[in-house]
Amino acid sequence: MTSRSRSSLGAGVALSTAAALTTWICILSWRGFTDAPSLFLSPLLGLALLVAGIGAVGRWSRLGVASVLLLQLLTGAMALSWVVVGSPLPVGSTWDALLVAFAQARDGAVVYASPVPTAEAAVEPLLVGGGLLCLVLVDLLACGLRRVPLAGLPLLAVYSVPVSLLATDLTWWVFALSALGFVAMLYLQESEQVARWGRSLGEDGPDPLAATSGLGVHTATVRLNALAVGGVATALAVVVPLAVPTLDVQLFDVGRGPGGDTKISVDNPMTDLVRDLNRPDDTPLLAVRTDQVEPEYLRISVLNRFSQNEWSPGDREIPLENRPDGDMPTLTGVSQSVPRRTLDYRLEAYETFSSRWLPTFAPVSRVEAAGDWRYDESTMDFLAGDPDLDLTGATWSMTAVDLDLSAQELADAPSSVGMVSASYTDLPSDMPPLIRQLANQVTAGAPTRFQKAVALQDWFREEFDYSLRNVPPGNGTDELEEFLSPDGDYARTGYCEQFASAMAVMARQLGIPARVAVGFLRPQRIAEGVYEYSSDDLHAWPELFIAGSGWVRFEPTPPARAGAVPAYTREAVDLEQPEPSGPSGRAEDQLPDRNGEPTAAPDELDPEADDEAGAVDAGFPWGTLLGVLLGALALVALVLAPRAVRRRRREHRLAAGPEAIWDELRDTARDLGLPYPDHRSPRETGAGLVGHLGSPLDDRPRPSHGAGQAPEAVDSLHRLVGDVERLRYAPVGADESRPDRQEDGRRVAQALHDGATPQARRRATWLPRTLLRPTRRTDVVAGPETESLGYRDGVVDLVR
Amino acid sequence: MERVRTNVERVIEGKPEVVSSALVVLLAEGHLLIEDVPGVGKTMLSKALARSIDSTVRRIQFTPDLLPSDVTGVSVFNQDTRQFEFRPGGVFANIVVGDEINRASPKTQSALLECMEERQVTVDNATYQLETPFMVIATQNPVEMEGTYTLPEAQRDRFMVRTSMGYPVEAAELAMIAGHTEGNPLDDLEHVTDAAEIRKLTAIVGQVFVAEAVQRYTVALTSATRRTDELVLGASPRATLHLVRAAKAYAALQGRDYVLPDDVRTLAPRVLTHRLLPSVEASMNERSTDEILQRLVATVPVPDGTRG
Repeated sequence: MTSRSRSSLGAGVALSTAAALTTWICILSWRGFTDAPSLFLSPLLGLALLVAGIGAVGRWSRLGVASVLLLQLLTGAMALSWVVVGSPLPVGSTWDALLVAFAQARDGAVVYASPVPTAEAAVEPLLVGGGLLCLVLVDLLACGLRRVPLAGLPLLAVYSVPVSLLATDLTWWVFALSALGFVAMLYLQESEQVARWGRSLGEDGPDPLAATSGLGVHTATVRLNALAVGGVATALAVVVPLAVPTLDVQLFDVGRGPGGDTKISVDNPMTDLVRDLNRPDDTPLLAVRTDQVEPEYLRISVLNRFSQNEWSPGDREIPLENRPDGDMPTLTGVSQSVPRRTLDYRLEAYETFSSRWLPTFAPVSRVEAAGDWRYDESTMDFLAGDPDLDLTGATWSMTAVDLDLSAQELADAPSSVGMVSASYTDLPSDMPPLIRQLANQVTAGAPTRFQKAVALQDWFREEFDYSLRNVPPGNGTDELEEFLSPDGDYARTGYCEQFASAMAVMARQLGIPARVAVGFLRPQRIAEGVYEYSSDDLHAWPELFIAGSGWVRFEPTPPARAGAVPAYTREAVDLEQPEPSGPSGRAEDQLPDRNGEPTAAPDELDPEADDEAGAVDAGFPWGTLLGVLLGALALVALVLAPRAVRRRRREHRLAAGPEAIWDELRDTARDLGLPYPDHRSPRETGAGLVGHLGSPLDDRPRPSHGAGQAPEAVDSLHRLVGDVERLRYAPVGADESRPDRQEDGRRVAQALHDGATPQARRRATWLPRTLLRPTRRTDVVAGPETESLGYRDGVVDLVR
Repeated sequence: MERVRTNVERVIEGKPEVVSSALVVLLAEGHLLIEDVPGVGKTMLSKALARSIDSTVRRIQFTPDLLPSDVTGVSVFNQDTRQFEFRPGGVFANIVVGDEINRASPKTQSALLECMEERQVTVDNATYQLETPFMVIATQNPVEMEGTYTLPEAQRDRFMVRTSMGYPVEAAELAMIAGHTEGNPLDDLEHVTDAAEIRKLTAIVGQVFVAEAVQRYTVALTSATRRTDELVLGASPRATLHLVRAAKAYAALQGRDYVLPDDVRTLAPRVLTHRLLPSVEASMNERSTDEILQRLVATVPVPDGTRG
């Protein structure tokens, strides 16, 4: 009895510890929640061991599941209280302190974005408490209820929380370790289960099985197999997604827009932009009907305020009468001398498009839209006045002004001081010096404001790489510094958000009024005169104010994403231009041509540029290729492994004694799906096997089998039966070694193969049953009540 | 032993299993009970076996008026010597054929059965050892027949093997007509061995090795008969002994010096069936003890462990 209890305590401790540590490893993925993760991870490690210990000992002393759970929760709560307020008994003032701590943690979590600065708000109580609940839950499922597979669900939830709440990438090693931990839990649980079944009925029987360790699976091979399968599965899970482009899929979109459905919402244009560009699927959002060849740069909103953290639309105070019900105010800052023409559009938002902003082509001269839309006179973007107003399904018409800007006029423009609000050159007081320095350095050779802007644009397009992946979202000063710095972590790699923000910030740094526009880059033509914008077309670009020309659009995003730059930025400018610039013409003619693409098929460029942007930038995708190769290799290894393991086992056994050969025959029969009786004598079993022997010459789909088919194999089988019988039942020393025994074993195994159907043979070769479900040898016959008969005193031995 | 077998089979045609049972019992120093309807050759088998061995053979025809003293012997007063002298009864022989044993009164039956177990006869305080080999071949009619007394369980238990002849197959019956109508085939039988040789052989049988695994298996089998719900009376420890002993003889007959579980399995129905009593439920389901035993044998696992 003692040995049995000790073994189950060992197994219980092993499983509980594995469960607790796996949960803790999973919780490692919460590191991003605060800037000092060790503050909650270290207490949680202690709690993990506490929960595991209580669980193991409680179950060992045969406490009920509920009692163990209660004990764990109570002790855990005391430990939590001790961690948070320094006293394990939350009574009186301690209780109040605990409540305060949790309230503060909650407030901190609400106020601050992750990672929460620990100095500002201590959110650890929440994290430790949540972690404790997870630990107890996993322990309950895995060890208490013995449903290890079910325990994977809370583990997955633990792991998914940061995926959905933090926009950071997942750490692969946390995943790999968690997966391995989970595999270990499964292994421990299953092997203990096996051991439990395998125990001898007699408590004090001579069978040593009960006295062994808690690991029920005893053969090294089986353990090795389990290890190999678990390891390969984890490796595959880590490696294969590298080659699949959906690793970035966000599992749960909690807290960021409408989760679940494919509706795309634009509230805060910039943050939504990031998410929508990262969508794995391209959702059509908006249709435009126009006579223009290709309507580009459909503006949704304008971000005019740059604070330390981000570009934002700022506070808008819009008069009630600013309704889009006809002609708009005259264009700000545009000289009457600029040649222009008007273009008419009809726009229709799809049901998938939800926005508080009304997209328009800028500059706009007339808009007619139903609903309480208001325009901001300084930015000329349209915002919903009614909180319930949404763009979904709306149709509206508008007229845009197409200015034919010339580079010469732009370059000759006078100072814009006083023409627009001073807020367009506002910058935070503590701008990193790097930004100013770079702005001056890049524009050193450009005499005018316009040329400085062009210099910036070209610098971005040539020196930077476009990528949507592995780029931290954000456009605050820190992110921009990181983005601009040539040796930062994300050295000069980013996407439109960073390019537009950076250029606008640098322009402001140079004294040029600048703002960031968010909208759609280029549509896809779906019919004659009808174009469609989708989520992949979302874009951001800077607009700079040049006196006489108004707000002028620039395109700093590299060619991988934005094919062409505005025509006027390439005229009469002899800075480095890769392509010879064509004669100045009207914008609608110029833009597609510069792209080098036929205008009929511009749609091919966009989705590809978007999807493959990361790969294109990185040159040939060696990493992906390597990943695919490794994955394929692992897959091949996985496919070949059962066959190889089975073969090695066969050779090993055939070279060993009669018992091993007999085991091999048993496994061969089982691999082939033949009935193999359990616990029958060798002779009986042999007689059964004879009926399944087949001839090697028989290659019909259903080969005939029986004693007559393979007389040699029958003789071999009989010899083997004799060997096994002698070994088992004859007096010691009676078994003789035969040189041809191995040959006999091989012949019988082959004859068994020959007698099976091709399907069974294939199965036996590639997916042997005995590997998947190894048979344990039970040497113990169900024990009869032998004591009362005096069997142990050797009644049978008296027979002479 | 092969010679004995062929000799007997000259007379009893088409019944190798029955003949081998008889030889097994002979070598295992047990006693054989042959149960069947009249006229299938029970007596012929016993006689043929007895005739094949050069030994003393007595035949006792059991009738309702047979007295125990007829079996064991009796002390008679000798007028000449003026002393009681012992007149040995029918059991004083190497092979005793007890014909239609269940027709005698229980008292007489038990007199014989005592001799079978003790291998000695005690009359008037004097104990007389019986010869070795000593084997009783008893025949009996099925209990349903008229004029029979049921053999009590305790006495059935003393027989090592019960077998039944069964009707011969047609071919064997045809051959029988040819052989038996011309004269008594027993007359042609010659002795092929003698008592001394049988004694030697039984000594050899005693040395046949029984591995621990086989011992366990045997015990598992007999104890399974005690545990099942379908039997009210299971096999006795004596049955276990008999089974092992018979298995040893069987192994020796096969030319092996060790016992296989298969030997035990083969002999189990012959050795155990007549000792078992089916429960009321089993009887009502018309399940014979034979069937019940077969199922038990099929369920008890054969130990595949090696020795030790």
